[in-house]
Amino acid sequence: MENPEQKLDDLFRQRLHGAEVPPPPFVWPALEAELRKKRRRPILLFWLLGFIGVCTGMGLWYFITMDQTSSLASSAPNPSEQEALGPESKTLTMATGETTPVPEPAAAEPRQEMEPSTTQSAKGQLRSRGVAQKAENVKVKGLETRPQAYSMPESPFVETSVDVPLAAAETSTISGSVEAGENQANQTLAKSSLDQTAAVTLPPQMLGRSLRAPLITPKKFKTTNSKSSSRQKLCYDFTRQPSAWLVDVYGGPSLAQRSLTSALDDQPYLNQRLSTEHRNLAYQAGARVSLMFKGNFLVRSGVHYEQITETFEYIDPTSVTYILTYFPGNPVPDTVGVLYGENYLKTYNRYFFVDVPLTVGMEMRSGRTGFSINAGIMANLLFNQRGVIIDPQSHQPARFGPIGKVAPKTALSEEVFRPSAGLSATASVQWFWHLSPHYRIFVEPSFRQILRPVSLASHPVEHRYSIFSLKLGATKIF
Amino acid sequence: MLHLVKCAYLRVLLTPLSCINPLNEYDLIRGCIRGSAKCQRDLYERYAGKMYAVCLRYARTREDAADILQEGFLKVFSKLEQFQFQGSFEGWIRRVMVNTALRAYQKQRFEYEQSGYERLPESPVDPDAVAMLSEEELLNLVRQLPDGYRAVFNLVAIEGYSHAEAAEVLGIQESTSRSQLTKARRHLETELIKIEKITDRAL
Repeated sequence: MENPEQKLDDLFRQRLHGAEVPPPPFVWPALEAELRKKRRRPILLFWLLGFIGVCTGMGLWYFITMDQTSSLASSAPNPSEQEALGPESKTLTMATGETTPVPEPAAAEPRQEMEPSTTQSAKGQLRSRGVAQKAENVKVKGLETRPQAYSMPESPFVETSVDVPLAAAETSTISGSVEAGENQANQTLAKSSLDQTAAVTLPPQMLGRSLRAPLITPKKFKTTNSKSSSRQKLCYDFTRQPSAWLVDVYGGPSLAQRSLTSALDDQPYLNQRLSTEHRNLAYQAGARVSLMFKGNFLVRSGVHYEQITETFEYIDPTSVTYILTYFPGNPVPDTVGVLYGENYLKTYNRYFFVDVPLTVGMEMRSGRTGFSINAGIMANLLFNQRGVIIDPQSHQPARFGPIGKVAPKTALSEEVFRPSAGLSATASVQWFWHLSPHYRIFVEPSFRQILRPVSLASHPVEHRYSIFSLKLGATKIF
Repeated sequence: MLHLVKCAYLRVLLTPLSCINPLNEYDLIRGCIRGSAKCQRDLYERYAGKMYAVCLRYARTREDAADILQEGFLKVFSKLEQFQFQGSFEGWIRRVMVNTALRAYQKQRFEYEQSGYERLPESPVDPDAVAMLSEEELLNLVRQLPDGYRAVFNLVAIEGYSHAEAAEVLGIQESTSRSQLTKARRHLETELIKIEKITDRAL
């Protein structure tokens, strides 16, 4: 005889083991969100690595260009000194300021044929202070006699102002040899320590010195000088004025990453919140005043406005209609359809922040461009919210804040958010480009972490924000 | 701008009635392992109905059952590589669901002993009375059981575990498992008799 208890078990097993009940509609969206998070984590990691790579690349580029700029500056003549001396200056002087021993000319050395360009340069070299007055009667083959007030013809070379402290004895020797004529001029040329050109025979030590301290700069360097001077003119000269006030205005899009965690282990309510609230647009704008000191360091403050928008979408999950079909002979109907419906609600939740940032930074410049790294805190002045949320008790939509009557207001719906968002930590990297010495534009990706939850401790779900922003703005330097 | 409230939003979802082709199941599983969102959705839609019924039997409330279902499917997707394509895939998912449900049950620390029905019913239960009830009603009956009775009844009576296996899973003595099952049966029989009497009076 069959055990009646066993029979009961069998009855339940036959009916329930393979039973099928459609799940609530909010389960799949919550599940999908979790699965998407797992897929998205590597992508976020790639973005972070990319951001770090960009910052590292910018830093390397800055240091490399700084090296090039400094090496260029050491080789090219100082344009300010050139300008100070004026165009009439024909003085040729040595860069090192050393007196060079005049080599003894070879006694039987024949006179050397010189190239016209060489002779011209040699003539220019003869215009030292010590020999200027004595150069009237110099007759070098291929050269014409020039008066004292001689202005150089169009020459491929530009005379530089380099002082030559010649010894008195050398000066007299040179002046004497000039008077002698052609051979004397050759000897003078041989003796002169000012000769740059390789066509004239010079002792090796003089050639070596000329390479180290060029006296004549070709015209092609003039173009470079004009370009660098134009670049310098477009930049604010922080070397002369290491302290300055800067005023920024900016705006741009943001990406608000919301974190909802169940503080009281209320998973079903958390799932409802996750399935009904989704991220939407966010943006920020503001104005800042910065003080630059020591040419590189910044302290910034100002006013910052941030707005976060989220979509609230709700379908009443308890409203489920099963479409059943009864077949003859089978008392158990077959479920052929399920209707989910009623009370569809879609609205937008908005969160407004007004903050005062206080950050410090360091700026690095190279010509018209540069970048700065900033970090600091933001203190929240104003935090307003409005929208609809699932009530933790009734599990129905309830409104909070100054919003129209899209949903009822409950006792708990107004006790969700703190009156203030509190402190936030912020960091950013700014890349700027000078339009003129006092105006520049910038792009500044930044990150902000609101340190404590924006929800009250009494609320069953902890609501936090991390915000990535892109600031686009302009700066005026006073 | 705010959107206006939409009333009477309807969406029809037809439950799948076709049998599962073993070859499609293989492709589906491989697709889920690759991380295909579509394959994950398809797999969920195929098995969610049956697994939700399993969760309803173990959970106290519908919300708890939904929670167990979500957590169970997360575990299914994360451990899918461990399935060796030996045996029934549905059975594998069911075991994952049952384990998830039992873990939730142990976390909530249900009390085994509640007001039990010690007295035997006066007459045995009519099998036809059980047959007249819908699956939903039977699930409600099981869900109304005290927590400890419900866990043992699900494992032993419906899933087919032995008392030794159920005791090991639940962390109780085998004798406790037996007594819990007996009490669960008594409870169900009492409820079924009540329903039978109500039905007879109605007729």
